[in-house]
Amino acid sequence: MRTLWDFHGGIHPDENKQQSVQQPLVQAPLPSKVILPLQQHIGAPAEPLVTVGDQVKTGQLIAKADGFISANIHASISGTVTAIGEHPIPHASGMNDLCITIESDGKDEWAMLEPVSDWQNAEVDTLLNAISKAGIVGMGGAGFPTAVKARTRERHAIDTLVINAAECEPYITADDMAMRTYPQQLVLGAQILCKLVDPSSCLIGIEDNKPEAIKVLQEATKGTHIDVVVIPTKYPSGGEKQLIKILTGREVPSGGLPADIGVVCQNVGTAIAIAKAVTLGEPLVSRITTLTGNAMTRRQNVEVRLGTPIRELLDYAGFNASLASRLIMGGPMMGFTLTGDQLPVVKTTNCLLAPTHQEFPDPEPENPCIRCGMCEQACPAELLPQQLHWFAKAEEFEKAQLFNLFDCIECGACAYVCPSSIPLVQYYRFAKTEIRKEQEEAKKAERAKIRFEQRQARLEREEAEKIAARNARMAAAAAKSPASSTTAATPSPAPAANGLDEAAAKKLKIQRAAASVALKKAEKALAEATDDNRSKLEADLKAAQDKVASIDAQLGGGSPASPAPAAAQATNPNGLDEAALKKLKIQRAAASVALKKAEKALEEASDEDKSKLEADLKVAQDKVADIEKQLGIASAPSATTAAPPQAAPAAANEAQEKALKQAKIAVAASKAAIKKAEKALVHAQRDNDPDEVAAKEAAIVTAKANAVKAEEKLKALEESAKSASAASPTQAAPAADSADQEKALKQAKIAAAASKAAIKKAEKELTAAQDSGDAGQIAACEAKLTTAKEKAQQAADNLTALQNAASQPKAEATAASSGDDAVADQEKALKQAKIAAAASKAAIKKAEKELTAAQDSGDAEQIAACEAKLSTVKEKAQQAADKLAALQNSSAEAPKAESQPAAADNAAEAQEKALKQAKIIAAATKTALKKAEKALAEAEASGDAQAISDQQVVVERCKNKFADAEQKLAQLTGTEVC
Amino acid sequence: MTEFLSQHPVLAAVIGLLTLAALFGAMLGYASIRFKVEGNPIVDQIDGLLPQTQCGQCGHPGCRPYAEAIANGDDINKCPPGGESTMEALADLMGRDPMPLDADPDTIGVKKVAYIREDECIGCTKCIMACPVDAIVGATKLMHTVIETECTGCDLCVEPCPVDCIDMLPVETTVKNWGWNRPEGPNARFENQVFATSSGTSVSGGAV
Repeated sequence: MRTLWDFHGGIHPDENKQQSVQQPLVQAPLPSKVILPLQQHIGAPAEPLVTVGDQVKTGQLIAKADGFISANIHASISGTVTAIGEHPIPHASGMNDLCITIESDGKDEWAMLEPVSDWQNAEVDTLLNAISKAGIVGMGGAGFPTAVKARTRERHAIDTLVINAAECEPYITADDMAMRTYPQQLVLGAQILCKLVDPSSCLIGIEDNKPEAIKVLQEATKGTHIDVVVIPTKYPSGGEKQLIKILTGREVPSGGLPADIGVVCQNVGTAIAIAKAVTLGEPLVSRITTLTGNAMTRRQNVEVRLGTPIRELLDYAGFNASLASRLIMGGPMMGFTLTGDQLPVVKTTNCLLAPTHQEFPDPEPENPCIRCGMCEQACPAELLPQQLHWFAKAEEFEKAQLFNLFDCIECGACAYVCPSSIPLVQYYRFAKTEIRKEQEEAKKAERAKIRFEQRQARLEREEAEKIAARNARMAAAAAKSPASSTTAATPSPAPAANGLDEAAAKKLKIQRAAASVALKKAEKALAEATDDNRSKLEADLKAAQDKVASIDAQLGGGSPASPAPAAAQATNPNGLDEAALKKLKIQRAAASVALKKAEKALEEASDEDKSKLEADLKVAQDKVADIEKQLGIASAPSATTAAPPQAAPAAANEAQEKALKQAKIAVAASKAAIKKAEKALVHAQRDNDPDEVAAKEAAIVTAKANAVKAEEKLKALEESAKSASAASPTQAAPAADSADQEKALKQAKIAAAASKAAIKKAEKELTAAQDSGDAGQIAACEAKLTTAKEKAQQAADNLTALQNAASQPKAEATAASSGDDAVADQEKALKQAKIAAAASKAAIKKAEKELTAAQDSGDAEQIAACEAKLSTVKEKAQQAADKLAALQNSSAEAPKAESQPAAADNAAEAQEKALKQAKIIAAATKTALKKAEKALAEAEASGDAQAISDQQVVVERCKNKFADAEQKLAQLTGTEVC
Repeated sequence: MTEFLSQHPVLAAVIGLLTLAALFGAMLGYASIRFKVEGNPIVDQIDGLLPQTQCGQCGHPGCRPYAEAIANGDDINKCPPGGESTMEALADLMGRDPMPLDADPDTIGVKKVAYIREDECIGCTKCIMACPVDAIVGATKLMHTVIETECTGCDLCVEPCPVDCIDMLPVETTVKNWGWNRPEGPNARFENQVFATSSGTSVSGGAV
């Protein structure tokens, strides 16, 4: 005799089992239709494999397990699938769920069955597959998929297999009758399970109220290692945990599984189903169900096809609805009331109970708890039902959980003993439901939170990407626009032409300047043009370029024509023609200007048109070289034929000039390198690549060092040139002297232009800095701008001083030589006119710039105003140019007049003319100043900081000019008075 | 040194206390750096109690901002989706008095889920952009639908819909989410009682 243990509590309700064991187990009549819910088990619902109208055979798989914890469902009758849809299911809720309905064809044709031929030697997996294929679930009541339970050996060491034959609940005798009828199959099933879980002992726990079954089983287990253990009758010894306690003395830990203590428990019905599935290949299509209760006349156990409508079973059992108090599926302790008779029998239906009112009177009304503590005495799970009741009632679910609510097996023992008829289990079920709901909601909330956060992260990421793309676009646009603006704003080297005083050349030059203005305008328009009218504008540009080219050709044609006579004149030993030499020099100056222009364009050009510009540069350089050669030829004969002292300085001068030019080119090149490096640096900064930025900065430093070196060299050369020219005897070479002066003037002009360019650059940088919004950078740029402006001022002062100096010595020289002031006056007037022309050109340029800015801003009014201004400025420029031409004509005539003896009258006339011109210039500069001031006021009104600063510079410049003009006027009037 | 200290007990005490103060100060300073807690931990706790519907009915853009607001003294009764229980949990956590929920009492505790009448949907994607938990699938000019299991019932998709084809339906009770009701309490007959009682076994007679 085995040692038995006892579990705490338990009750002894009336068994009422005798009613249903008087008759042997029989097959229930085949149902006319079956309703098979897709979920008859714990876990996921099965997935239907058939469609409405399909013909199915008995045992055919009609719904497949969906997931690990799920079970197959088979047709329990042959016939036609008539519906797959919602149907009431046997559930405490009385609700509908998905079911497959099969209308029987009455033939009960079976599908081909595939038994495991030699299960003793079969693989464990084969057996497990057979079980899971058969759709077997725990038939004691819970409906846990058996195959999953049989797999516990994979995770746990199992030493005991328990076959639960206790069947402790009153009325139910399904297992009892099954054992009596199929003892061999039960033993076989137990043996198969033993093979699967490999325990050291296999126990069949059976209550002592089933003597017949005990006898049969003891017979059947003879010669096997299976022990039939008879246990005392006590409810709920059939509870898994309680039976394990009784048989092994071990307690399943709270929240744990029997497998945790090395035990697996299977129901009798399950074991028989396993045996059938393995040896016959028969899937779970029927089960043994007890039909009992005094409202039935045939109280017995039947083997019924799953899905059989309860109505048909009740008809078979002779159910008398008028006698029945209710209809219960399951036992009286743990079953639930059914809401209708159209519900099907499912895999876990072990009993249909139809008690009369005598048997099951309506429950007593719930009375207050009297704290008698009887529930605690009865609880098989050793809980405190009274406390749990309070907590559930007060909805203090956390406390209920603290008191191990989830260890309650809902056996109903506490409610059975309660003198106050409190439906305790109902309270616990309610509490469990609520707690599960809360957990579900917490889980859902967590998921929602994660999804929300992920969404936020996604939105942020998308936003960042958008900003990055926008920045990239802006960067691309910014990289494009500076290029176009630099090309558009390429400063005209035209002012350099001021150094000439040959009339025809001058005229051509003026034309050329006008044409180049047109060209520039066209270029600007092109830069700002949309794609639509680009082609048209390009055509315009082409025309303008052609014009410039033709004028250049004329200019060039006029000059090459002169070398011939110049050369011819050069051969004349007596006539060292200064004019020819001068002409050549002028040509050279023009060519070098062109060269410089080309270089500048090259500096500022983008990579695309660099090659083209380089070609241009080459051409220009060639031209310069040509002209210099000619100059060399022209001056060389003059050197040989003229006085010897003149030759040396001329040659020296030439050499010096060459060196100077080379040095200048070097300076320009190094500046270009700096600019390039800076541009690269900006790009690198934009890309945020620190390595590259560092590299670029280093490159800039070296480039700047180079530039400084080149400038030093240039300075040294210039100084030497100056000293050389100073050393050269001025009386011997007035031409050289004037050339010297001219050179100084040119240098000063270049310096002025350079400083202007520097200002422009600084302004541009400032704008960029303002755009970027970097305060530090803005301040730095502003500082740079001020220094650049100061420099520009210095350069301008220098230039004016030099111009004055140049005009005075010339005047003195000519006065000394001819004794006539007229020429000097004329020259002065000419110069002033030239200055006026240049000023008006500058005004045109400025107006054009304003127009561009206005066009950029898209303000129609402003555009119109700017255009009007531009036209007036152009008119003025035309006037200035005309005047200049007139003056040049008169100056050309003047030498003729010089030869005449009556020079005094002419001189006075010239003086008057000069005075008049000076006045005109003063007036012009005044109007320019006024205009600039007006523009400044406008800019201030518009609030555009950059425009204001621009205009302030313009006003400053205009004021200086006006002051100059007035000074000159005062001088002139002073001399007249004298 | 020892002699000096023993001769000047007051000085010794002062030195000792200063030493201890410096020592503990250093330890505290180290601990405040080493075990620094990022952010306000109470916000996480409050956020954990909120239902995470992200519905914005509290006037904050999502549950976490409301949690932050509560931590900074905002009322705890502004979460209708959380219902009474959330408010009580918050009151517990914050040590404040429970207060009535600031919402229409009929709508409290009714779980809803958005439902798109799909034949009326024009595929404007406005609801998709409004959904805080990405529970609506669909594309431009294609029918949208709500992933029911992900929908928090926040109501935010109803407003943007230009054709008003979104309904907020109460979550249907199915076998899966069905739960037992609370017994009605003392003096009420529990009609669905199945359990046999010792007082009402087969021998006792019952009313019809």
